[in-house]
Amino acid sequence: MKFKLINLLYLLTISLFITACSNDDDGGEPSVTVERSAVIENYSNLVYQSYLDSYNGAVSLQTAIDVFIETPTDANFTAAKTAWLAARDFYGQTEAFREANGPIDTENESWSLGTEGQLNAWPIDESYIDYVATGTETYAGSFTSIISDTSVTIDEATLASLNEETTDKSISTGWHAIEFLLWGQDNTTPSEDLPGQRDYTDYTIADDADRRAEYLEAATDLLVSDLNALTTTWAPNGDYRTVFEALDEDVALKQFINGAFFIAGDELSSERIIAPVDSTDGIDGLGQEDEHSCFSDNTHQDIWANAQGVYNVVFGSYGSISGDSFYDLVKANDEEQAQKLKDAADEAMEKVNAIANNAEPFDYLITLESSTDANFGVVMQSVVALQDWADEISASAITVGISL
Amino acid sequence: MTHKIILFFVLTLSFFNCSNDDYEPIAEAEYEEGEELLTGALGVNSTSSNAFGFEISGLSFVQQAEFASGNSLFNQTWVSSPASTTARDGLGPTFNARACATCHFKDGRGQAFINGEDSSGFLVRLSSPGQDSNGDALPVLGYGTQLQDRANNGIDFEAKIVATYETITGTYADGTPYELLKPIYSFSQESFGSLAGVLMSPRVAQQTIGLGLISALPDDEITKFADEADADNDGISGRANYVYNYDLNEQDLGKYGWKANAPTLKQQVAGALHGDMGLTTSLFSETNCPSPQQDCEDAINGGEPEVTDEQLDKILFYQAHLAVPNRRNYKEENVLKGKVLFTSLNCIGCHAINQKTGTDAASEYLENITIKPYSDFLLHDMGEDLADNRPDFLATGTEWRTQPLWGIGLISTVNSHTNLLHDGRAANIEEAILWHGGEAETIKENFKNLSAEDRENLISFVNSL
Repeated sequence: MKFKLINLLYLLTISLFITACSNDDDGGEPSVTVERSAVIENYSNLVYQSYLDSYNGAVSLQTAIDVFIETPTDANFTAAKTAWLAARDFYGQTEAFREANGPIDTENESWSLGTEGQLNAWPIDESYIDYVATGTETYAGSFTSIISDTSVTIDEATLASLNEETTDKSISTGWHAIEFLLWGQDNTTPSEDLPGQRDYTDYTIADDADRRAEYLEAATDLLVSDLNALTTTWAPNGDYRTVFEALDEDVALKQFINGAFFIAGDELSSERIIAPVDSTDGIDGLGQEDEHSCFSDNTHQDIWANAQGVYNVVFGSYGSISGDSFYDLVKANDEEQAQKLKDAADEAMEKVNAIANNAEPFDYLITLESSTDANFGVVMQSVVALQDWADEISASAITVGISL
Repeated sequence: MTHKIILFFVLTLSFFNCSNDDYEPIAEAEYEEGEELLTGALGVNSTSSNAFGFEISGLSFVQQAEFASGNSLFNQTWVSSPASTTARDGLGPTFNARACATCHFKDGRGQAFINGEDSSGFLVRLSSPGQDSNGDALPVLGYGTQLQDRANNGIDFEAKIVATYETITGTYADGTPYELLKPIYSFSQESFGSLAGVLMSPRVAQQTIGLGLISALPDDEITKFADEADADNDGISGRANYVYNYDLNEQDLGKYGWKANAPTLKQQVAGALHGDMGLTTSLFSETNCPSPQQDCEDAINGGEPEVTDEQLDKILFYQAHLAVPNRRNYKEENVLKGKVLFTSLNCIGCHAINQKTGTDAASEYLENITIKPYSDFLLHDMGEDLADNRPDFLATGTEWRTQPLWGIGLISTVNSHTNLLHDGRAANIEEAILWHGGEAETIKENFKNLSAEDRENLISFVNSL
C-alpha cells in the first residue's frame, strides 16, 4: 500500500512536470525534460560499474593465473587464457571513458592516475620482455630480455618502472604483455586462423621458466591493482567521482561525450582499424599482425567491445545500469537529431558486429582490403560507419549546447 | 637619462613609421582583415591541447585514411626486433626516442634537457672538424653525427648528457633586471671513447605544423629575403643554406631543422627516423651503428628497410597536412600594439611573412597559398651566446635558421611548457628575445629600451601567433 501511494505521487509529479514543460514546445508533442545532472549521475554509475566488472574480471584472471603457476598444466594454461579473453571484453568497453580528462589518462591533477599506458599500451616490446619466436631464445639471452636478465628483480614496482621511463609510452606491462606471456608470438599464417602457440612448458621445463612465471604474476597483479584504483576513484564518494560530479554540468557532459566521440571517430576507427588495414609489412608482407590483440587473435572482439563502450555511454545503459542518457538529452532538444544519432549508432554496431561475428579472423580480413579500395569490404565499412557515428555524436552535442 | 633615451626612441620610431606610410603620422594599431589566418583557409581554429594535431580541412576520405595511418606510425612506439608487429619493429639498436611523438609530443615542441632525466625531445648532434665530399658534417669515431643516449636490451647506449649552467645577467632600460641561464653541455658514461672536445650541437624537437606548406615554397620565395652583404644596411643579412639532397644527389636549398640542413621533408623525416630512432629507410638504409659498435651491428634488424617506402609516404603525408592554428586574440588592443612594435623594431626583418607556395606540393590543397610563417627560413648570425660552434653545411657555428613563429603561443597549451630556442634554454618568449644577438643585437637592445608595457604588448602579439 505504501509503495502504491509513493508511485501515485511520483506519477503526479511527472505529470505536472510534463505539463510545465509543454510550454517549451512549438505546439508539438509534449516532451520530457531531461536533467543534465541526472545524465551525469547515470554516467558516473555506468563508469563505476564498468570498471568494477573489469576489475572483477581481472581478479578472475589473476586467480586462474595463480592456479596455473601453482599447477602448470596445459588445462590450467587454457583456463588462464579463457579468463584473459573474458576479462578483456569488460575492459574494452571502459575505453570509452578515455580522453574525457578523467583519471585514466591525465597526469597532473591530484586525482590523476595516468595508468592508460601501463594498462593497455600497444604495441608491446616483446623481446624486451622475453624470447620471441622459437629459435630466438639465445638471442633474447644474449640481449637480456627482462626475463632472461637474472640481475633484474621481477616485481610490480620494477615492471612499472621498466615500462614507462620518462616517456608516456609503455612497452612491457598491461593486457598485451600478459597476452604475450600466455599466447606467445603468433607466427602462423592468417588463413590458419590460429593465435600464438606458446607451450605451457615455457612455465615448467623451459629456460627461465620460474622468472617467466614471476613476470606473468607481477604483470597481472599490476593490472589488478590499476583497475582497482580506477574502480575506487569512480566509486560513490570516490576521489574522482567527487571531482567529476562537482564539475560544471556542461563541462562534465562535454568531457564524457568527447570520450565517446574520440573512440568512435579516432582511436577505434583510425588507429585500430585503418592503420592495420593499411599496414603493408608483416608476415608475408601482409601486415596481419599489426592488430591490437595480435597474440590471442582477439582483435575482432576488442573492436566490438570498444564500440559497445561508446554505445553504453551514448545511451546510458550497461548491464543493470540504466537511466537518463546523452541520447535522452538530445531527444528532448531535437528529436530529429536524436533519430540520426540512433540510426548511426545502430549502423556502426551492425558493421562492427560484421567483423566480430565474421567466419574469418580480423588478421585475415585486413589482408583483403585497402583504405583506397573503390568498394570497401566489411572492415573499411565499419570505419565509415564509426566515423559517421562520431559525426552524429558531434552534431548531437551541438543541439544540447556543447561544442566538442 | 632613461627618459631621454625612450623619448628619442619613440621619436625615431615615429619617424620611421611616417616615412613608410607617407601621410600617416603614426602607424595605427589596427586589425587587418584576415590577418589571423596564417595559412589562408587551411588553418584550424583550435585552442585545445591537440591544436597542432589537426589535418587541414578538405581532405577526402581516402586522404583522411592516409593521414590516420601516418598519424599512427608517428604516434605509436616502435619496438625492438624481432616482434610480431613486424610493421613497427626495428627500433634502435641505439636511439633517442621510441616514437616520433616522444619528442614531438602531440605534434608539438620538445623540452629543454634536465639533468638526470632521459631526454624528452632533446638530442645532441656531434661532429669532427671539417666536411665530407657532400659538404656534410664529419662523424665522430665511435659515435657518428648524433649521440644516442638510449639503447635496446643488451646494447650499450653511447653516452649520457650532463648540463651545467652559467647565469647571464642584464638590465632593461627601465632598470628591471633579468637573468638568463646558459646551459653548457658535456658527456658522461661514454661507451666508445672520450667525447671531450668534439663539436656538438644541442637540439630540441620543433612542432611539426605547416611543414607541407614550407615544402611547397619555391626557392625564390625564400631567397627573396636574402641580403647576404646587407645591401639595405639594416644590420640584417640572411642567406640560404645549401645542403646535400641524399635522394637526388645534388645540392639544394635547406629548409628544415635548426640550421636549415635538410632540403626536403622526406630527408628531414628519414633523418629523424634514422638518427633519433635507429630505423632504416630507403634513403638512409645503413644501420646506425658507427664502428666499433659491434653489438649494435650484430643485432637483428626489423627488415630492410625497417620503414617501408609506403610507410614513409604515409608519415610524410601526415606531416605535410598537419594544419597551422589560426591566431587568437588578434583584435585585442595590446596584441595590435604589439604588432606595430614587431614591425617597427624590425623583428619582421627575419620573422618574415607573405610567402606564396608553388605547385610542387604534397597535394593540391597546399598549392598557391599565401602563408605567414613569421620566418624567412634563412640563416642569420645570432651571436656568441647562442652559438653552438658546430658548422652544418654552409651554416657557421653562430648561424641559425629563423624559427617560424606560427603556433608559438600554443606550445604551452599543447606541451605544458614554454621552452624556446634550439635547445629549449629560453624559459619563455621574453627570454627568447633576450637571447637574440649577432644580427639581432640592435633589435634586442631596442626591445630592452621599451617600457614594460610595450614589452608585454610585443610578447602578447607573439603569443597570438
